[in-house]
Amino acid sequence: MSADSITTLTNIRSHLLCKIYIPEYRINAGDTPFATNLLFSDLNRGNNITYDGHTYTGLGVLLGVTTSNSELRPSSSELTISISGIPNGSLGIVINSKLKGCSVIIYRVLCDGVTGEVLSLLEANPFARFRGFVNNYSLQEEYDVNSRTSKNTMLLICKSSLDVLQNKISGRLTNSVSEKKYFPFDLSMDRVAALQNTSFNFGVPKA
Amino acid sequence: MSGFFESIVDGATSIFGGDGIGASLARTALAGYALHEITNSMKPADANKAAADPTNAAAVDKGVRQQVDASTDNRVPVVYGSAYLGGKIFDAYMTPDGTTMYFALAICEVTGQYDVQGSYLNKIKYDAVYWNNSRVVFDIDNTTVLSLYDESSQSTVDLGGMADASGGLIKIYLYNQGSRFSTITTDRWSPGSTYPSGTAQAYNVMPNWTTAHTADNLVFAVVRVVYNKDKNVTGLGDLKFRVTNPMTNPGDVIYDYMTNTRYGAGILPADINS
Repeated sequence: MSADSITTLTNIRSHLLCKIYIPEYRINAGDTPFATNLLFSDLNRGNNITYDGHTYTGLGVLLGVTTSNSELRPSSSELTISISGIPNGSLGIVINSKLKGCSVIIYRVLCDGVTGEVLSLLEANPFARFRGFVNNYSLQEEYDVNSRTSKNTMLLICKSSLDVLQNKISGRLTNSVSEKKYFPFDLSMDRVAALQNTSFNFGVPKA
Repeated sequence: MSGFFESIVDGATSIFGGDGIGASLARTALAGYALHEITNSMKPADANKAAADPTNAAAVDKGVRQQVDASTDNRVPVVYGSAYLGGKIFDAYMTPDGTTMYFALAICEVTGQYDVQGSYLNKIKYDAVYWNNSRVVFDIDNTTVLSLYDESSQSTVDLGGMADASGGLIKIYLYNQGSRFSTITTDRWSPGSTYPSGTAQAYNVMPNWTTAHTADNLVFAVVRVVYNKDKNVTGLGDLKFRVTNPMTNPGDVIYDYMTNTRYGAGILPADINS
C-alpha cells in the first residue's frame, strides 16, 4: 500500500493503543515474577492490531482513556486508563503484579473510516500520544444482584514523565532514620537528635 | 587658715573620741580600712601578678557556651558543577577536659561518578575552604589551618594572632566519599598527578566514632577546634566549602538525577531511552 498524505483523506477514524510494561508480572502470589507487556486497544473485540512487533488486543468499549493535553513545551499531565469487565478470577494478577511505576505508552492510530484498516501515511502512524508511568491504581467492583456475579474495573492513574521527575525523592536528611533508610548500618547520624538545641561549655576548665 | 585646719582636727578628735553612735561607726570604719591595708600587704607577690597578667587565661576565662546547630530536618544538598556550601552539623564532640571540640559537617551527596557512556569521571573535589569569609591556607599536613587569606584585599588576615600562630588550633579534615576517603583541597595538588587523598579516616579523627560510622556516600568535613581565647578561637567559625563535581555534562547530570534512588527521581535505567 502506498503512503498517503493525511490531508488527502476524507474519512478517517482514530483508535488508541495502550502498552504497559510490567517488569514484575505474577499470575499467582509466590510465582516467580517475569516481565511482560499488557497490550490492548479500543478497537472492537477481535480486531487486533500489530504495531512494532506487538499485537494489541481489541477491548472495544471496555477500554477507556481520559483526555490528555498536548503542548509544545513539556508539561505535567495525568490521565486515567480504565479497563472494565475483569472477571474475579483475574484479580489476582492485578494484585500480585507490581503495577505502580510501570511505564505506559499510549499511541494514537489512524484507520480508514470505511474499511478500518490502519492507514499508511507519510506522517508516522501510529504516533505516541502519552508517555508516563502508572502512579497508582484502584479496583472497582460492579456487583450484579440478579446473577449474583461481579465484574471489576481497574483504573490506572498515569502521570507523565515530567510529573515523575518533579516528584523527586526528597533526599537524605541529617537524621538517623533517613540515614538508615539508605545505609542501615551507618551510625554517623545517630546523635543528631540528641545534639539539637544542645550547647557545650567550651573552654570551661574542668575540676 | 590655720584656725580652719585646727578646727577640722579638733572636730575629728571629737568624733573619734566621743561616746555617741557616730563616733562608734567612725571607729569601725577606720579599723576596717586598716585591716584591708594589712591584708593586702600580706598577699604573695605572685598572686597579684597572676591577676594582673592577661595571658593567664585559665585564671579568668570562663569559656563560652557553644551552641551546636544540628537539626534532623537538614537536607543534604546535591551538587553538579561547582558550588559554595556551608556544612550541616551532624555530630559534635567535646573532649572531657573541655578544651577541644570536634564537629562533623555534611556538605553534599556523592553523585554518580560515571557518565552515560560508562567512563569514570572522578570524585567531588574541594577547591577551597573558607573560615569567616577568608580562605583557609593549610599547613603542610593539609589539615591544620596555617592562616586565613582575604581574597578581596589579597592579604593575610590576622584574627587575634590565630592566623599567625595557630599552633594547630584548627584542623579541617575533608572527605569526599564517606569516612574512609579523606582528601585535600585542590590548591594543594599538582595538576597532572593523581588526585590527592588524605590519610586519616574520619573514624580515626572523631573521638566518639568507630568503623561503623561510615557516613556512606557523603561529602563531609570534620573540624577540630582547640579553645584559645587569646588567639580568638572560641568555637566553630562560619565555614564554607567550594566543591566541584566533575559531572557537568547536561546529559550526564540529567541521567544521574533521573536514575538515582537516593536524591533523584529513581527511574529505572531500563525505562530511559538514552
